[in-house]
Order: sequence, then C-alpha cells, then structure tokens
Amino acid sequence: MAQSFESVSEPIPISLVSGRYLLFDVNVVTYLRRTHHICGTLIGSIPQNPQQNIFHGLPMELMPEEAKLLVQKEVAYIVDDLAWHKQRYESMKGEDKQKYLQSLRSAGLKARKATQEQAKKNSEMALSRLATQKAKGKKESPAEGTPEPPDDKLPDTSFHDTSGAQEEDSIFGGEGSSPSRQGTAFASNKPYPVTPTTSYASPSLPQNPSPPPDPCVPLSYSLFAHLHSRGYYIMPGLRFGCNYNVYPGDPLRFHSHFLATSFEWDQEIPMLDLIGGGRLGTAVKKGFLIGGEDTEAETDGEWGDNVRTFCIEWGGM
Amino acid sequence: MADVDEDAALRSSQPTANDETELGDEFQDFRFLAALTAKSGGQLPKRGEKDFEPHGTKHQDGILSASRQAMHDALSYTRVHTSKQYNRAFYYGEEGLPRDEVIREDWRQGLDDDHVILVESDKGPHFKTMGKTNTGKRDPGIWLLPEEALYLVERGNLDLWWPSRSSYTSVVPDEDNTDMKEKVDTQDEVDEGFPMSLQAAFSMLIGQDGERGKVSLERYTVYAHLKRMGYAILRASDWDVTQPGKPQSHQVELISEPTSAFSWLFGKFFAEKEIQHSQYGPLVKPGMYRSYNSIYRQIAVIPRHKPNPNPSAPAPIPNDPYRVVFLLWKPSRLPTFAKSNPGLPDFRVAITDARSTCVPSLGQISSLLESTPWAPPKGSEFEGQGKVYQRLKNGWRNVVLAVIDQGVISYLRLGEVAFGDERMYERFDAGGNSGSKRGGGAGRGGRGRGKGRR
Repeated sequence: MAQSFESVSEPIPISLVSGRYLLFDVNVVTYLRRTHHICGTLIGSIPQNPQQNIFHGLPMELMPEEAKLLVQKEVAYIVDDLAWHKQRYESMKGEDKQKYLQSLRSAGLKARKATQEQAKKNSEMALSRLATQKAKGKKESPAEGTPEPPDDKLPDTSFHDTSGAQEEDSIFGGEGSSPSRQGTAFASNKPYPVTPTTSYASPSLPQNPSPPPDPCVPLSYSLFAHLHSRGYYIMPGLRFGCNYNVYPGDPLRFHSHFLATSFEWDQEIPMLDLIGGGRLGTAVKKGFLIGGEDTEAETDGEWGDNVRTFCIEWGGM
Repeated sequence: MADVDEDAALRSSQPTANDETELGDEFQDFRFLAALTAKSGGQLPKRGEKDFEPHGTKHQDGILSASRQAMHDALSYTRVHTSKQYNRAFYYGEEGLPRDEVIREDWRQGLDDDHVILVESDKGPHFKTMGKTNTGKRDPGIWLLPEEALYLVERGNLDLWWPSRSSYTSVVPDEDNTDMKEKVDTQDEVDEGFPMSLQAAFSMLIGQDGERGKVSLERYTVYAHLKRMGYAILRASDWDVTQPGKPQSHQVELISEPTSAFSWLFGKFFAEKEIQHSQYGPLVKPGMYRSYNSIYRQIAVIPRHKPNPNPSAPAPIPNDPYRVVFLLWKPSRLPTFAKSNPGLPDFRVAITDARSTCVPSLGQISSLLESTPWAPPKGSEFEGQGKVYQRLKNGWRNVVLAVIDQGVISYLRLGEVAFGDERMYERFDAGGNSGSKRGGGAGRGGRGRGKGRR
C-alpha cells in the first residue's frame, strides 16, 4: 500500500491557544498517532463534507496530559501561537511577503489545473458512458434502461454530492464538493484563492518567542502516563462517566476496553461510585478500571511505574 | 421477569435514537467518510465494524493502515476557493489593526464590540443567519463575529485576510477619503494585506470569554458542532461574562388550573383533612377507605415544587458558566428566518467545561432555568392522561446544557418539572369507577414500567 506520510522531525511544535493545546499539521497528527499513540480529539469541520458531525477535521485538540507527556518525552514543545503569529504577521513585509503570496499563488494555480483536469476527465467519462449506453440501447430493449433520459446523467457525474447532505448543501452552499461545476466561474487563468491550514511548513519549525510553562495537568496524569506507557491509546472519557476511555489499539480500528477513573492512593472511594461505574462498564461491555499512584513507593525512574490499577466487573450471578 | 420486560420495552421504544448516539460515541473509521460523500451513499458505518483487540494478523494491520491513510487523506485537504460564492474578509481585531482605530466611526455604527471581521461581499446562503450590517453609511459593510468567521473559514467558505492600512478603501470605495485614494493610486499594486492560515485564524479569534473580538474554544466548539447540525445560532443576551446576567422579565399570565370533577367536588374536604397528622402512629389513620385518593392525600407529607411563571422567591441571577449563551432555531425554520427579527428560539444553550467545573448546584440550576422564559406544556399533544411523560419531559421551563470535555461534547436537557401536579392516584379511582378490567390492570402495568425506566 502506498503510504504518503511526510516525515516529521522532532521536536514537534504544539500550538497553545488560550490555554488549549492544538495541532494543525496533518503530518504531525498522523505521525503522533502512529509513533506515539497520541490520538487527541478532532474538533474542526471537514470542508469536503461540512454538514455532518460523524467525522471531524483539523485542528486537533490535545488533552493537557497528552501535551505534557510529549513535552516530557522531548517529542514536542509548546509554542504560544498568538504571540508567534502577531510577531510574524507584523513583520511580514517586502520580499518575505511576496514570497508568501507567491507560494499561495502557485498552490492556487495547481489547484486550478487539477480542477480543470478533473472536470475534463469527468465529462469524458460521462460521454463515454453515454456512448456505451446508446450502443447498449440499440441492442437491448429501451425499457431496461433507467427511466430518466441520458442527458440527465451528464451533470450527475460532476456532482460528488447527491447524498443526504445535499439538502443541507443547497441551503448552506456546498461549494468545494462539486469542483467542475464551479470551475467555469473563474474562466481566466487567475489562480484560485487558497487558505492554507498551517502557518509554517513542518521542516521550518517556529522559534519560540517566550516558552510557555509546562501544561498544567489534573491529578489523574499519573494514571494516564501509566496506561500510555503500557501501550494503550487514551481518549477523553466523559461520555462514559470516567476520566479516560482506554483502547487496546488505535481507536480507528478497535473498541475501547476500559473506562479508567483515577483516585488518590489513600482516598476513600464511595461504594456507590464503584457499583455505578461497574454497572455502566458492564452495560457497555467495557471494564471499569480504577487506579492510583503510590506516591511513597520507589520507582526505577520510569514514568507511571508506581501506579496500581484494578478492574471491576459486574458478576452476573 | 419484570426486568426482562423492561429491557425489551426500552430496546423497542427507541432503537434509532440508540443507534445514532452509539455511532457518535466512539471514534469513527475514516474509510467511511467516502461513503458519506459518494453519491450512492449517505450510508453510515454500522456498529461493530471494529475489532476487539489487536491479534497481530497482516489482515488486521492492513485494514488499520488503510483507515489511517483514509484519515490522513481526508485531513490533508487544502481549502481552495473555487466557488462563485468566493468571499474575502479582513480581520480588524485587537491583535492587528484594531477596528475602532482604523475604521471611521460612521462605518462602524450599530455594531457590537465583537464584530471584528469585515466581509467584502455576502454571497452564499450563510449570511442569512450570520453577520451584521453597520448603519449610518450608504454603502454598508457586513461584519462577522469571531465564531461566525472562524466557522466559515473552517468550512472553506471564507478567505480571511490580514489587512494593511489601505485594505479598507478597497472594500468600501469612498470619495471623501481622497488622501487614502491617492496613496493607493501611486502604488503599482494595491497592498491589500495577505491571507491568513486556518491556524492563524484560530490563534487570533480564540481567546478567553470576555476578551474583545474573541471567543473561547469551548463556546466555539459547541457553536461549530451545532452549526454543522444545521441550526441557526445567535448569541444570547447573557453572552458577555463581564456583565451580570439579566433576570428574565416574568410575564404575568393567568393559568387556569385543570380540575377534575372529583377534586372539584371533594378536593376541599380532603385537603383540610390531610393536615391533621398525629405526632406518632401511622400516617394513614386506620379506618374504612373507599378511594385511593383519601389514602394518598394523607401520606403526601413532603411539599412538592410547583412551577410558577412568577416565582415568589426568585433565584439569584445566573452566573458563569451556568448562563444561556446561544439561542438556537431549528433547520426547518430557516426558510422564514430573519436575523434581524428571528422570533422565539427553539432551544437555549448554556456551556460548561467538564474539567474546570463541578456538577451544578440546585441553586445554579434554578437560576439558569429562571433566566429562561416560561414554557409550559401546552396544546393538544400534551393533554390527557396518557401524556404524563410528555408533559414531564417537556417541563415548565427548559434549557440545554452542553458539557465539553477536551473537545468531546455531551448535551443535557434540564427542565423544571412538576411531579406534584401529576396525581397518579386520582386515576386509580377513576379506573375503579369505570368498572372495567382495562382501567385497573393494564393501566397500572404501563405506569409501573415507566417508573422503572426513569
């Protein structure tokens, strides 16, 4: 299988925007997922199909725990995105600016070309299909064909989007999903305007103007680090009433196994919490996992080594 | 036995709703995104497509890498504006060229402080529900709030630019401003600034609540999520965290209490009787009873909450974060929607962060509910004995609470409910009077199941 991941060099910049940790570079997102088991949560729209909530797009929000873990492993560092952008945009003048505009222009031209080629291909395909249909129609009875006249088929090929989302699109404007139709809008050779996703390419990492402090994490961080060091994938767990949703492999492919809740070592746990968690976990076919860090235990320096975990299941007796 | 019944009833009653929520609960396989976009499709992935755990086979690895590749491909899309409805906008927020310094006063009349993005043109259907036009100028411009602009950029419908000093004159040509015009003319190419990336848009427009020209990430995430569902959304009057919430002006409304014939005849008689409880001994006095009503009235010792359009002891004004920040109109109302005169909203949304806040107290919930208008269950769909649960579910006031945990949103509906007004025991007597089997047996069975569910 052809893999088209661009290589990413560590350390990776994590954008800090008003106390939240965000990732905008798709290569970084893929790299962290494959190499470091960091999933994050996608919170943006997918411009190809913007009127749905099943699939989300960039940016990706990282939990503070994830950001801290990456910083601690020296895989990533935090960049104050607002300060960086302010500095960059205020100093963007002359040659620097021309270079930036030129790169966008060439991207726009490329996109234009690709769209035109696609449109050409689509119309060719539609024409050839028409031809075969006509040839078929001569041999077989016409009643077997589709009830609508073949001319109606023509625009159909250029619309990527005739699914349920189209109703929405007609209200909200589903541009971008049907490039060939709008391809004629710009008849001249002007490049398409482009909105880049990231502000810097991954090889040219931003200098950190003022390094922000390490991410502030909740007490459950030690449990997070422990589970992560054991190779689990971890997602936020509020939906299942726990701290973390723990997956045995990539959540793209696997169901979660555990609903993890962190407690302090000497903390008294109400019986109702155990029963409630255990029942909920059993009902959704997951294990209710509790864990805590023994702050007095000796460790070999490995992170989250002094954490003990227990799994509670509802015995169906 | 009863348990089995309950489960069956649950499953059969709302299978579709269950399926949908289950889908959203876990991370979806991006290979199915294509199915959404494909013209034949619209078919969503089914549950159980995923595996239990890795078992190290090549087959499984292959599927996983295909999924990852699909995700990568979907996310690596670049926003290219190929459409006829190309809209360009300029950012005039605090971080760049602040609006109030750069733009003349008569061009920004009638705007809110947070309207910091000026749109060149308002092509496309989005502007039916978004944006505000400044007043006091012949050639008015359209201004967007940060969440509106960011959502459109994210969707690929807006090209956001970082302005230069001369950008504005190119948007709104103005003869009076001659010196500006000359400056523009002397240059070979008009310096219009340059496009901002999605990342830059986030860094400039996301901030803390209360910062001028910004929106917090929690509020924005909820806004975008609801917007993707098709709702029309406007800010509520309690939006600004720096301002105290406004109390709801309680409208005076006369409500005629629905009285059954029974309580009309005997209500007074029993009401007087139920007060007399002896200090010791059973709640129900020994004796001969010919109706459930008289027994139940005697054992009702706990005072019940009664919803009131004008609460005698009003709750304090709502405080952050338990205050209404967004007003929602259903997609079905869009054809007649006008942003200047939107009418009564369908939902009111408050937003809270799961990590920094606790479960709200009763006081906070009451304050939040009392800041919403009185909306009792009225109309034919809520009348009659069989509609008890519809009435309770609707509530007398209601508000939607969005709880957000690191980008994962859960919506809760809070309602002010009058359990004390739904007198089940009155029906027991009515059933007995009609004398049929149906009244007693089946009726009670149904209620029993309902109780178990809640």
